[in-house]
Amino acid sequence: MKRTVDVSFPVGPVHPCWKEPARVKCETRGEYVLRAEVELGYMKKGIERIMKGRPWQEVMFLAERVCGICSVVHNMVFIETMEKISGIAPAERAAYLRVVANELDRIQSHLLANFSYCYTIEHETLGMYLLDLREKVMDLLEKLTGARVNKAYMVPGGVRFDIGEETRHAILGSIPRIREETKRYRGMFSGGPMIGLRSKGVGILSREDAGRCHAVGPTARASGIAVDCRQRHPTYMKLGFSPVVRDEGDNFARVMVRFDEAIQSLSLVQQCLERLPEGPVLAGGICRAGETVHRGEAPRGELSYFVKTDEYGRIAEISIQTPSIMNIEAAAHYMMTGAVSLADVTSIFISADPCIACTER
Amino acid sequence: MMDVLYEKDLRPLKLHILESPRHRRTIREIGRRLGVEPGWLIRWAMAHFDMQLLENLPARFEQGLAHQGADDPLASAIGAELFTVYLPFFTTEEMNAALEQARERLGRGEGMEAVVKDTLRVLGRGFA
Amino acid sequence: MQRVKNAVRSRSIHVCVVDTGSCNGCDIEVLACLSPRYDIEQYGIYVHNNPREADVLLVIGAVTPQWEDKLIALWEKIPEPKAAIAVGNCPISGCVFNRHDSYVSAPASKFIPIAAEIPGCPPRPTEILSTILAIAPLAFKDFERERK
Ligand code: SF4
Repeated sequence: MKRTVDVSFPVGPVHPCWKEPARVKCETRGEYVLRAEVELGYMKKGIERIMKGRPWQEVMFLAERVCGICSVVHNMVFIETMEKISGIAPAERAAYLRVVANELDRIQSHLLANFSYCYTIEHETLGMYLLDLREKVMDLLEKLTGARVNKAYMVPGGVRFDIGEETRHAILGSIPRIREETKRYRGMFSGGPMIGLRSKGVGILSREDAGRCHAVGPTARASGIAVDCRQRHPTYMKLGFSPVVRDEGDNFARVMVRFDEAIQSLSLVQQCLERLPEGPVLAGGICRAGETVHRGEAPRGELSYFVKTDEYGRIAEISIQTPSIMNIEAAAHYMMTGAVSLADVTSIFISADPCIACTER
Repeated sequence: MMDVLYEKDLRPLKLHILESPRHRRTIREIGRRLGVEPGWLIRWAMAHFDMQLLENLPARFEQGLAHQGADDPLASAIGAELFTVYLPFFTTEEMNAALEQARERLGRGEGMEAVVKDTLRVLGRGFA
Repeated sequence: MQRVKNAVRSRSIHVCVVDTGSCNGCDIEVLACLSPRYDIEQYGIYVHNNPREADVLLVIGAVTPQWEDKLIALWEKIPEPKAAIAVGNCPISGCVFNRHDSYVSAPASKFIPIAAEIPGCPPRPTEILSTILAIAPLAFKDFERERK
């Protein structure tokens, strides 16, 4: 849209703080941000178009590559969608292993998000601590699934391979240490006076605004909306899950929600591994024709897949709604409006944990 | 003179966003409500919305439908909040003016359905 | 003089990362190189994301339409001597995205000269690290003398 503005201040696409290209144009008066506009298109790969007409065996790998940070959950939600269409029930042991993989992935994603935030507000020490901790979680994930990023761990009916007794003990054994460290860094973050100055009261997203743009995940939960798709997931229901909610709605709250969720996820992993039932990890089934919508909770929020298949298990139509779409919108159109300083624009953007690869697919 | 490196014609990219099945469905549904051809709607949206809002269109539409207040049947039938707050197709003033007229016609004893339909048509005329 | 330059250039490498439409997997592996475990800075490699002071350009992703002209412009902004490294399968071949109907136009070597390629989807941080370390002395060695 062409408009004449006072000063339009573009940020990006290649920006030292941003790991991915996006462009935010801020309309400013002095330092005050009046409104912001996002320009995308740097990552549009057309993945939904590639998926069309391909068998699920191929789409499974494509689904993972929608986003490299939360690849487990894309894998999981797509496979669960296929299971829902074809009426396949996953093996019980596999259901628990899926939760383990998903929660480990959530922990590393949250740690990465908090690292990015600390890095953006120039608190590099804490950022590096978090990144180091993330490597430890990545190790566990690699032990469980065999790869670091694109794992393709789940298949309809279960998971690819069983977890050995040794790996189980290794993961269980390192959880206390990771929890200990996460708590320590959480304390460092919440207690740091400088961090507080740059985070508290900055980028406020009110409850109503969050509702308007359909914010999801930690961004919504930091604004007092208790949405979490895990509440409706059968395996999580068995584990007695309840979401973490805060109501400040500022940058600080969003980062703290992520810290708390990481700690919560650790205990979920522990619970799963402790009561892991015996049995096979793969149940049989055939993928059939059908059409459905399935939602799952990604680290960044609600992820939904709209899938239509034909009788050979090929994808006839697919549409993916990723959480970052809503959260970046919330960041750009509500949080940034009224930011008192241009210096806050980057930290506000990062605090919503944007993932451009997800947004554009 | 400096070349403007990043300002590009964004229309094809915006069109790519609107091509996904969910967006197409949403646009068609909005078009049906307003009595506008989807093509006009797409053109208008591409000119007035930024790319993030376009991406978020289906989610906002759903959210708007889910949060329609029940206290004013006329406003919710027209989608007064839906088309101003959730999907900023109209400004609040435009919508209020339209609502005002619709109320008047209702007061004259016209049928609810016809009034709603006509009001949306009138609003939708702005797109063509 | 040339010897001094060679020594300095192989010990202080400034890196700019550009993501031209990837799945993010390679991005985070490059990020992971920053972590204390791999500690990219102990080798004198600094990730700045600023093309104007970069020596090495890490290209990630399968070149989307928005980047076709910008990648070239970005490459031209980097001062000589410079080298571009393709990280991951995406800039090498387009990976899973290089199919009928997608928007990408891989490989990246259509647009800028690529000095080294790191295959993998994604490559491990150690591989990225060792490639940067291996290419820098080769690409920058005796740059002034050879140009003459
Ligand atoms: S090479 Fe693989 S991991 Fe890397 S960006 Fe491409 S798809 Fe993602």
